[in-house]
Amino acid sequence: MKKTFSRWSLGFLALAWGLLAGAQTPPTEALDAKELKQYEKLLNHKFTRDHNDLFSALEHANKAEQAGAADLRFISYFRLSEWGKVRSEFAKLPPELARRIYDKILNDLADRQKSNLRLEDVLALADAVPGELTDDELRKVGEILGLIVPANETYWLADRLRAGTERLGGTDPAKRLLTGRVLLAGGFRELARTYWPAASKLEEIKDEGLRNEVAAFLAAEQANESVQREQVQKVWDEGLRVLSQTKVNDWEKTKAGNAMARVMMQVAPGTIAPAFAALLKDNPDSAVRLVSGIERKIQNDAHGEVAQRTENLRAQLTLANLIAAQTDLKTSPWSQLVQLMAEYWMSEAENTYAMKGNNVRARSRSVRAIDAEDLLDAVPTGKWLDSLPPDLRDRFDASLAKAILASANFEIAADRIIDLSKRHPQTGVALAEDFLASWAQAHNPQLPEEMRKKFGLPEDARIPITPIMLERNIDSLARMMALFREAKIAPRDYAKVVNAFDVTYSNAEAYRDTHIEKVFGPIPQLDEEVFFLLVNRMHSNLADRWRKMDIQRASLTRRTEFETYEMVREGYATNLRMIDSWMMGKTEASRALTLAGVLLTEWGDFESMQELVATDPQKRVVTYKEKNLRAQDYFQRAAEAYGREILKLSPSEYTIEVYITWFQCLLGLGPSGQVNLNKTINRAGLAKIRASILALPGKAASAHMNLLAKTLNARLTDENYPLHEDLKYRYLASTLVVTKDDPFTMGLQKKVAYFDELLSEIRLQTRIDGPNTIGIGQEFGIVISVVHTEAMGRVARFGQYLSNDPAVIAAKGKRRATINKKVRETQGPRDEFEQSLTETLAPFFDVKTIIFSTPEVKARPTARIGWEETVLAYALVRAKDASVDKVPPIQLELKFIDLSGPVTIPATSAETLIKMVATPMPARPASKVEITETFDTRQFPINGGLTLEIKATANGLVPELDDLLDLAAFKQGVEIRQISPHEGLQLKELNTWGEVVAPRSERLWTLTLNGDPIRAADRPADISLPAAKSKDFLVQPQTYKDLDLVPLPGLSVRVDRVAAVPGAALSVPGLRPMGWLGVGVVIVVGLGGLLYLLLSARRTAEIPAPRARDVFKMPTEVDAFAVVALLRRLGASSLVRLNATQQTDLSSDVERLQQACFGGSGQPLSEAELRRVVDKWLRVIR
Amino acid sequence: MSPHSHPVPPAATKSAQEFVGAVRERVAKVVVGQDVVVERVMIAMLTGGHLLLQGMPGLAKTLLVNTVAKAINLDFKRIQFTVDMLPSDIIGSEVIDQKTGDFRIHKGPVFTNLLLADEINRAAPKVQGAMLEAMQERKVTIGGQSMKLPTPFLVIATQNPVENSGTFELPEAQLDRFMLLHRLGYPDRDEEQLILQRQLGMGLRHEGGGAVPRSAFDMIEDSSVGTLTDLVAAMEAVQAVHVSEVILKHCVELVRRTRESKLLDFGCSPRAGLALVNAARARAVIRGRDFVTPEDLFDLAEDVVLHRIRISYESSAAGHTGKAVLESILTGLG
Repeated sequence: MKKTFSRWSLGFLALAWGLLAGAQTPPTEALDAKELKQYEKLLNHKFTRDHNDLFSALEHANKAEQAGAADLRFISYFRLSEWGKVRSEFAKLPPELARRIYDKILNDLADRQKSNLRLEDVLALADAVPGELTDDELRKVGEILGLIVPANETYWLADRLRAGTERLGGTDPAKRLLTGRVLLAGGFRELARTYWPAASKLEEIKDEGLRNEVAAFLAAEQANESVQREQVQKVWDEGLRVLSQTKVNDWEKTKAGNAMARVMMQVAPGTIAPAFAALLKDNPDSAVRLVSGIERKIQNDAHGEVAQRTENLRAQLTLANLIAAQTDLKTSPWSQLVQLMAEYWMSEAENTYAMKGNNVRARSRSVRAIDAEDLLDAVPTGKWLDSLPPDLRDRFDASLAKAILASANFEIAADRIIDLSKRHPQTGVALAEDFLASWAQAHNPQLPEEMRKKFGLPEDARIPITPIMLERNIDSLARMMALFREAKIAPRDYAKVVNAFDVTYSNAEAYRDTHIEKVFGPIPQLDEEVFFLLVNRMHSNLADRWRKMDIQRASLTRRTEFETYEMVREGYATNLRMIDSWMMGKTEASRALTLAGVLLTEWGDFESMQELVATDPQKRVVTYKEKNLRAQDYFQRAAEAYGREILKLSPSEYTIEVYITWFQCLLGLGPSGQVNLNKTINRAGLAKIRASILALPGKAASAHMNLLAKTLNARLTDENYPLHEDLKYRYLASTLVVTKDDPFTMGLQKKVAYFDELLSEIRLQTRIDGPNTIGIGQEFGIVISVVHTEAMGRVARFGQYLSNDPAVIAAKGKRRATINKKVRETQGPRDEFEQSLTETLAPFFDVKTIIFSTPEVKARPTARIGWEETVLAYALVRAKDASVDKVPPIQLELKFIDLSGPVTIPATSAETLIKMVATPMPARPASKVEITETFDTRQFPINGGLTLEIKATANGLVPELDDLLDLAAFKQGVEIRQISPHEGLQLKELNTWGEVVAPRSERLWTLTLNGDPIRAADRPADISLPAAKSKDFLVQPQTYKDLDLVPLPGLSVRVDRVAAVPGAALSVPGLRPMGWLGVGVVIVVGLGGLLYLLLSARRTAEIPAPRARDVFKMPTEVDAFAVVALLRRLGASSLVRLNATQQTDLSSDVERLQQACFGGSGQPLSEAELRRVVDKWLRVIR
Repeated sequence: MSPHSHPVPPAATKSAQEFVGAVRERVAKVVVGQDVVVERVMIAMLTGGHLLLQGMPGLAKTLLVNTVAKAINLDFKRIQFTVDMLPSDIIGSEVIDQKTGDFRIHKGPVFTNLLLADEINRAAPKVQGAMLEAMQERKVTIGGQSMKLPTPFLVIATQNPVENSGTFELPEAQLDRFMLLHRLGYPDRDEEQLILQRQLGMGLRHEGGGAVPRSAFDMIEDSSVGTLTDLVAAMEAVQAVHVSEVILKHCVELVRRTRESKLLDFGCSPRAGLALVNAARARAVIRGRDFVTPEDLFDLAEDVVLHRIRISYESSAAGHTGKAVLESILTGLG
């Protein structure tokens, strides 16, 4: 009992202390005077959270924590939004001081427009209040919320409060009441209303004061609405009263009109019409003032909010309809007023259209556009519209069409435009252009900039266009265009038409002529401007985007490289067909013909140079040449057409477009900036340009030549954009071929003379590797070398063209890229040289191999003193047919440096004549012919296979097998089943240092021989390996011993019949013990008469067959394991032929031995017994 | 016993032979040919060793192992090794239980009786190391907890000999962990024809209204022909197989000669001798004998020894092969 009492009494004491402590709410830790003073300093502190404060707090956060200064620590917590710690700090303080500091914070924050608080901060601050929030604090918190939450973004405030905090929001009725008060203080009246109960439930609020406050709020809300309505009506009535009086001065009336205009759309709808009718009847002047008030308001709000301007438009429509219904609109001042109204509507329509379109200037204006639908809702109609004078009506119709366009209702807009064009053709045309621009914009797959940025999409992000979309777009555009054509509306700016057509297509899709005809009409009847816009657009797309695989991928076309290639090819063909079709019946079409020439040149380059498909390179070269020839034909026709056109031109209208384009195509300069550096100087083509210019009538010839010379000279001397080094010489030389002695290119003569002087010391030459008469189908070699002076040999460093030296390539890459790179990339100079050789020789020869000298090649002396020859390459070729009569000129691009920087000068060889004959010609010269005959008998014991491998090497070309060896004699000894020529002639290296320049070549043949007769025969067979046909040929016979090759003493080999023992190695003749030879000699001596055989066998090899008795012998160490292993091998060997009884016997012996020797219970056999068993079986196999 | 009569095996050996025969018969119903491989699998199983199969894809390795597992009612799992695997993908890992917040052990696929490690050389060395360690120690450690693997535990790994790109060749030291490395060949002409004929008659497997052509996997019977008890009995029979002194002597001689051969960089470890004797014992049981004969050694030498030796560069350049060197050593033995 005592214990119980004491426990209860302790509990009570603790409770009492707790209650007392709670009542006093003292600081949890006693503050000393110093610290208290520090806190008191806060009452004088200005609580702000500017950026500087924030960063300063971040920088000093640790210091403040460690410094121990309570005020600094508190401020740091406040600035860093550490509200939990702020609450802890408040808890330490005496309540009064805490409250004062809290109120100071609220006051300071509420005073600032930009408190830099987040919503969460304000709510946390509200939660951090020491004690309960007072009315004043609630108001302040509300005010702060009002400052940080924009009025139109209350939704996230509502969301947050719905979730609730410690003191605000949530579902607790008391907290909801507090929240309503806070929101009301912040100006969120609508939101506040949701937190307070309805008027019918006010009784549920227990706190009388609060109940009264809520009741007052609700009453005030209702009162506000009715007061507002009353006030509006009062303003309207007052205005009406003033306007109705006659004795009121003008200023008063105008003021009243303005006031009425302000509230007009807020008064009851039914009041305006009677009031306005009454005014019209009794006081028309006042009615005018009312309308003027509206128009004045419209003018004042011209740059205002969209909602306000939309309301004004509606008010204007209301009044306009009233005026139209009750007055004669042709009389003054109503006619002027309704026109003003129409003007206003039109200005808004233009603004909306401009903002909808891509008009950058319009978009940069701050005035936002009224929605097109709202505009069309307020459009003048009926009598108002009919009253407009014709000129205004036309302008209005144009604006209306634009508004319709802005609403993307193209069909209706087209009807409007056509209708308008009947009255006002020019307006119709302008609107048609606007129509096309709007249509293009509405169908443009390119995403608008703002949308692209919003979603972080790449710059080239586009909306993919599917084939169905494409067809639909084309149909839509075609329909509109047909309507315009029917109405004879022809746009002034055809670029817009072509743009509109272009956007209907995906970026990766080539135009189809069917679509072009659908939209633009039959191609032969196309307007010249449209035609050229279209073909030029196609041309530039073909050269760029349509052939790019990354664009294909971005457009999600799933086209393979080959399909893309085919599409581009078809694109070029379409483009050319369009030109041919359009030109039909036109005599003066130099521009179109020139474009056709350019297209064909580019098409040729594309097919030849692109790597999309692996086609036969020789075929590509032929196609390329064919395209270029056709291009030349077009250029020639273009020049002739221009020659006819010039008769109608004045000198100021002369153009050299045909000639300069022709010139550039000959040099490989494409209009898209690409350069085909593989093109050589086409002197014939250049001469044609010159001839075409000179054929122009009268003075036109010299005028054109001068103009061309000036242009070319300017390009050559342009220091800002110098020509590419590979192009410089060719451009220069080509220019002079065309202009020759034209005075404007006289300066160039000196330059070219310098280059020609360099070339005079270098002669690129080709020669045949033997007689120039060659049999059809015979392979022969072309030696490519440079004959040069000794000095030039040092300067030119020909070795640089014989390697793909990375240093050379790197240096080239660093050069300033004035023009684009070559279309097809190569690894280095040697690749370029090889490519050039292949492309030059391919039309005439099948180029088998090209072999180059080493980069360290030494020059060879020549008969001419001071001159040397550096051999560069050797091409193994075969003429394509009998018509080939020459080695075409080949070209090597020599790199030099002149005053203008690096320059590439092409050196060209002369033609080398050859004669093709049908009769077989002797083999090409070859020296040091070495033949290795490898006779392989390793398969003979297994399957009777015998092979003879013949490898021949030579300086020069290895002759055919029949020319090398006497196969006829060989075939008498053994039948040749098959001759495999392997890869044919192989060039190993180019020998440039011997007496004769020749490649080291190699050929390999494998002769499969029929060994069955030898195998079937009882006696060994002698085989004579084929002998050389010329004593100059060195023959080395050899054979295999296991895996090793061993030389044979002579060409005669003896092959013995052997049992087919897989894997049994054959002994090599002559390598068996000499005893065999001794035995042979004894036999020969004994028999005497077989002397002939002995003599014939002097160089004969013999291959003995292995025998069982030689293979199976008594083991060195006899034990059960060795014996069982021997018996098992013996039983399995093909050298041993046992009958069935013997086999059974052998198996029994093995079983017996195993059981006895390896079984755990058996009695092992002694060594003597084991030996007996082995002896038994060795006797059997003998 | 007459020395000429065929020895009669003891009862344990006989029942073990019958057990293995039943398994082989079951496998033969599904897999055409590959009888040697089945024998090697059984040898590995009876001796507790691991088997590495080297061969081209499509030689029914998975099917075979699956069938063997089903035939003995063993737990079977297959891991396709890839380069991005982690050791935890094989041995398992600790995962946090969302409900309790505690870590629990998630056992990897290595916890099984029969594990097919497909294309083991595709995994990174770290993963191979973890796998081979588990094979050797027959236990794994996950999150500091050591866990024993089930018994029996047999790994049959495969590797493709022709692909080098993206593979990590198993080093010799790790190859040594495999008791046998068997090189699979293609089926012969008749077997291949039989494979096609079997496929022709399989028909469709209907499932939920749809159907797919049956494959050989559908032919695996669910019922087993033996139990774990039978397997353990067979393993015991293997342990009872007699190995004579002379066999042991030659076995040691074989291993020593691989070390002494000048044609080899290195020869076999003692583990090779152990593996050879164990495998030979199992083979003897499979053949119905209770003792090992030289034939057992000769037959198994290639699978046991060849992956444990490395031919020197010089002898390789001279045209020698490991197989030829082994053959010459075996010929020299007896």
